[in-house]
Amino acid sequence: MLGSGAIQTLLPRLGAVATLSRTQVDIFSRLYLVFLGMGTLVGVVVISYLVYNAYKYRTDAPDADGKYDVEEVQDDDVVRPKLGEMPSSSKGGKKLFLSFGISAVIVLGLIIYSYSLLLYVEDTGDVEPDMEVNVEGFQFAWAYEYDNGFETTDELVVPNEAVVGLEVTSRDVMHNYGIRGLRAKSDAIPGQTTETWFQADESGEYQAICFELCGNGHSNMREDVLVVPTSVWEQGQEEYDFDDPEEFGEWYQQTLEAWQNGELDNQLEVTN
Amino acid sequence: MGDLPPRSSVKRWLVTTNHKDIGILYLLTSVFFLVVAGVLALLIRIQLLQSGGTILSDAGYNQVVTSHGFLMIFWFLSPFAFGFANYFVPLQIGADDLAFPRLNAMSYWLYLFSGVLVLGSFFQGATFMGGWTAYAPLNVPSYIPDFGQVGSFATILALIAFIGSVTIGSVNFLTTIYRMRAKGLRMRDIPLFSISILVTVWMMLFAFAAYLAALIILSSDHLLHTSFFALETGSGPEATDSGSLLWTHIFWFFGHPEVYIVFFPALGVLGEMVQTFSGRRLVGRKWFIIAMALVGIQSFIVWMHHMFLTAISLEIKTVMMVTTVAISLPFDLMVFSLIYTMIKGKIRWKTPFLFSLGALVIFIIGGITGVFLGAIVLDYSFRGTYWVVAHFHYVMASSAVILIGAVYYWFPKMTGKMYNEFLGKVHFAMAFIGFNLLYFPMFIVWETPRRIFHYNSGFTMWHQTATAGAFLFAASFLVMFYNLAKSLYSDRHVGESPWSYVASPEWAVSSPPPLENFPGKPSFASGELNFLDRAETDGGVEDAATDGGVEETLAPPEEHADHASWWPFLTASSVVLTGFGLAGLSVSHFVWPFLFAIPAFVAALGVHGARQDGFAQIHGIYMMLSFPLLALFFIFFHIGIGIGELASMSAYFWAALVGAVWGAYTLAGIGYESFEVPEPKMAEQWPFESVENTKLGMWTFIASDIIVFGAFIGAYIFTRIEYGWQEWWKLAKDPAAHTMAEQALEHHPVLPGLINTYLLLASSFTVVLALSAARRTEDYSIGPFSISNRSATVTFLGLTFGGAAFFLVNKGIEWVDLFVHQGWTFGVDVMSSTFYLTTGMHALHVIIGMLVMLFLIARAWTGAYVGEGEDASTIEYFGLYWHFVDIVWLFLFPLFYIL
Repeated sequence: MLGSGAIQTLLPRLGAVATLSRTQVDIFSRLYLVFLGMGTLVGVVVISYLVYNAYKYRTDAPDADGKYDVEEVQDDDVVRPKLGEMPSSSKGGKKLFLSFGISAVIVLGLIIYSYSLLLYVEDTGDVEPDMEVNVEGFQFAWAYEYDNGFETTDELVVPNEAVVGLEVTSRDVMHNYGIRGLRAKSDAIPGQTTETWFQADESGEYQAICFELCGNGHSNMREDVLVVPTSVWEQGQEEYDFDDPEEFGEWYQQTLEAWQNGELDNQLEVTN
Repeated sequence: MGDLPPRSSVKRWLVTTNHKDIGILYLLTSVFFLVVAGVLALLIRIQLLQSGGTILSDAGYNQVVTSHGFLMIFWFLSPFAFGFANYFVPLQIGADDLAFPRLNAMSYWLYLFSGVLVLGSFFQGATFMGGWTAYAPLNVPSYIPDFGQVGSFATILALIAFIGSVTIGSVNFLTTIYRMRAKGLRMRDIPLFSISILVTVWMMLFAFAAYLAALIILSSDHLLHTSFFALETGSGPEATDSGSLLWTHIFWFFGHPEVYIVFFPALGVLGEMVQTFSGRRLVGRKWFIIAMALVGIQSFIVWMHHMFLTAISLEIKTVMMVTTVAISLPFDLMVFSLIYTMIKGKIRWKTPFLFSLGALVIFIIGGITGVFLGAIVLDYSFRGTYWVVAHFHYVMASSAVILIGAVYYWFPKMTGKMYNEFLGKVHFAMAFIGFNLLYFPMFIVWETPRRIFHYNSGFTMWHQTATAGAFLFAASFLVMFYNLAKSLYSDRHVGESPWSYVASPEWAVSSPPPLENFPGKPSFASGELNFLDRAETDGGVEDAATDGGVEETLAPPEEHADHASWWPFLTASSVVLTGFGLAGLSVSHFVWPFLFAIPAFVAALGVHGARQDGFAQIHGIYMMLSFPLLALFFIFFHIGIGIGELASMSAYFWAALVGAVWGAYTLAGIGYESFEVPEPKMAEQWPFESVENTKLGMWTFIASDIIVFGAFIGAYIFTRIEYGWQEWWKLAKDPAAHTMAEQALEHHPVLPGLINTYLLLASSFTVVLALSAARRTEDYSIGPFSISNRSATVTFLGLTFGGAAFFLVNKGIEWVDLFVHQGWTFGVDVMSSTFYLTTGMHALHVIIGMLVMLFLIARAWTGAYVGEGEDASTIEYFGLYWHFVDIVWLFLFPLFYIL
């Protein structure tokens, strides 16, 4: 699992680390597209075939006398159901298994393909995350703790392009921490720690939302995640010692204020 | 017991035990809950008209979302399907009624009154608001706002009562289908709907048992303040490390089979409707059935796909992914089977067929979008979003759509009147369009978080479309209500079948079917359905002709068709007051109403017994015994609470007291009521030819109880492993946390448990002796002493009772020592919680067994069960239960005292 190695003590010096070839967003988008394509294709074919048959073999015969349905007829090639008979099957078993086989191949193919991507998401190989953040959910907000020990219950601020590992837990009830747009999501369970990671391609404003019903404030349990451009992060590193929680805190406050005053707007690629 | 009044009388519906009446009651009641839950759904949709909500508060919205889920899944979908099952399974398999008609009525009334309880919870402050999944620890009092505590607990109690109903129903249907099929009808030959019910009740029997265990654990956290899910520490509540996962495991172990439980009955009707309206036998019927059975089994090993984002390991995720994806394949087969059945058909686009077709389209979409969720990486992103909401509505609500089709399919059979075809088609058009307008946009704006009324402003249009669709979907039901009500009074009479190409036996009888179901004894022995002359098959009439007096003992099997009984209604009604009261009681008060109910039960046994069997000494003893017992409990009460406190007791206390006493009185009543249902004759009974109905019922009940205890033991083992198997003992030793617990541990002795093990084993032995004494035809004599077999039976039952009593006394001493003297209370840590609750559940089984024994002793005293011509089986069935209780202890003893 990602992050199982030693947690780095330094916040990332960008450019010096290897970045991953594919982010969670890339993987999700590709997989979603493949599934959507196959799903739509299969759905359209099966539903069309269903409706086509239902339409083709409809009968226009009028209702029989004293009934609310057509007269029963028995033709040579098809044995029709008869009242009180012992149930048995119509012919068509071979076709049934052929279709069954085809659907099995499609479904298994999709799953095997998706499984290879799962292994990638679960274990990114040699690439250690550039930074680790501990996330603790509580009714009704998130508390973050950075590698350097800096803690906050305000916005999460991370650099663009960095691989950010998250260790997620909860202080009270079960939550689910998810950053929409970055495809990071993990259950926040009291007494347990779960892990996930993300890497932003574009700087900007994202939202961390609680995806598990956690009480009366659940609907409002959302907080911004600020992905600052690498230039902003690096400039910060030049001016402040990011290994020192207090200095990092100063930079963090300044950056947040700048962002709230709209000073970062022209540098952010994604805005709410 | 008496004859049934006519259907126009209200009394008929209160006392009926006839399966068709009860089917109708189920259908009407579940439609009522559909309307309630549907209105809640409309409230959700109105709230979602704009991001940020419109009419509901946070707490209000959570309550609406939660109760919409509970009511639709538990109080609408399943009971709706089981309304049809009640009505049609006996007709389809050629039985006169269900195996246990009175228990069937009990199932219904428990269902209704549990529904009253859950609706009442809205008026007890607030109903449960933690979602239908009720994840821990949000589901315990520490995390529920004060105003919602009573109502939340009432909801949990209502669910427990509902599971009572489900379990009785499952036992009933299993026994019926295995033991009461028409001659010649093999298991594989019963109509598809009945087969789907069979698979469903098997799943119900086991899945709901696990849920019951979870709910009892949850109730215990509410009532006794045990700490499975959260600890009360000095500084406030603190979730336990294992509680959240424990709940999700047990809940989804139940919850995933539950999805198929609500879907399978619909799948069965779908098969029948497609066959009928295509005019062609189902393609691959055998494989269809095998696929269903496979899904039924497999449904118990996929549950962790609801937990992909919890801390479970990649290996387990992979296994669950494989089982999950594999479970979609049998469904593919079933869908293709239905499609191929239409080829070369003579398809009539009647309303039931339209609903079948529409539901198939819906189900195909629901199935495909489900495969998305099976791919773990996609699931990571879909978790907690509207993709999940849309997917499961496409699946679960397709079940509702099929069952609505079934309403049109079987309405003519049940009422003898034809509905209006045009209005039926209007209903379908509105429902189908409304359905897709409602749910399809949810796929488009799937990034909306679930159970939240804030969303991206760009999504507004789609959510408004969904709301419009919801209103259209809702309005379509008004068309149906109008159509059916109007048609009921029309003159469009139908004969045996309005449809062509029907096959199953329900269409071979008049519409509506006669009270006794069939004109003669149905039989498939010749390879097709025949009705044999009842007199010839039963042999009852010939005997009656020669001697009128024999007629009663040789009652023909159909005679119970008009049995009436007040007791199911009366007994189940006690649930409302008891549940309402219990929900508001504190840990120190809750036990008293139930203690005071015990003397009431003993007295009631005396009264009912004297009335039924004629007054005997034992009845006098019981009546007299109840007074000192009551006095004893009053003394206990005075020591524990104080007599003076009675004046200031809350309404909850009195409600629980009245409810419990009423329950005790009515349970004694139902026990004593003579309600003979003869064993089926001339029936296909493979594979249970040699097991009587009641014994099979007892076996299936015990099977489900095994799962209940299995879940308790599983919860204990899971929790203990989470804390470390051996560290467990040190858990209680942590002096910082619990100073008293250290001593408690040293006094957590093995000896009382060991003594109790021997006591229970001995009592298992004596109950066997009681049975053999009852079966003996002559008296025992040892030398000069002689003892009648009746006295011997009573003595051995008494000894069994004594063993159980000693067991409880011994346990009581142990508990008082641990609880009072050592201060090792219920909630002091998870270790004490698992210990008290699991052994307490077992003790509760012992107490129930003792109450039954009081009944058996009184009956045996007056000569029942004993000697020639008497049936000792009741003692045997009780013995099965008693051995089971003993065996459970053989597992608990090492687990809690030694390992």
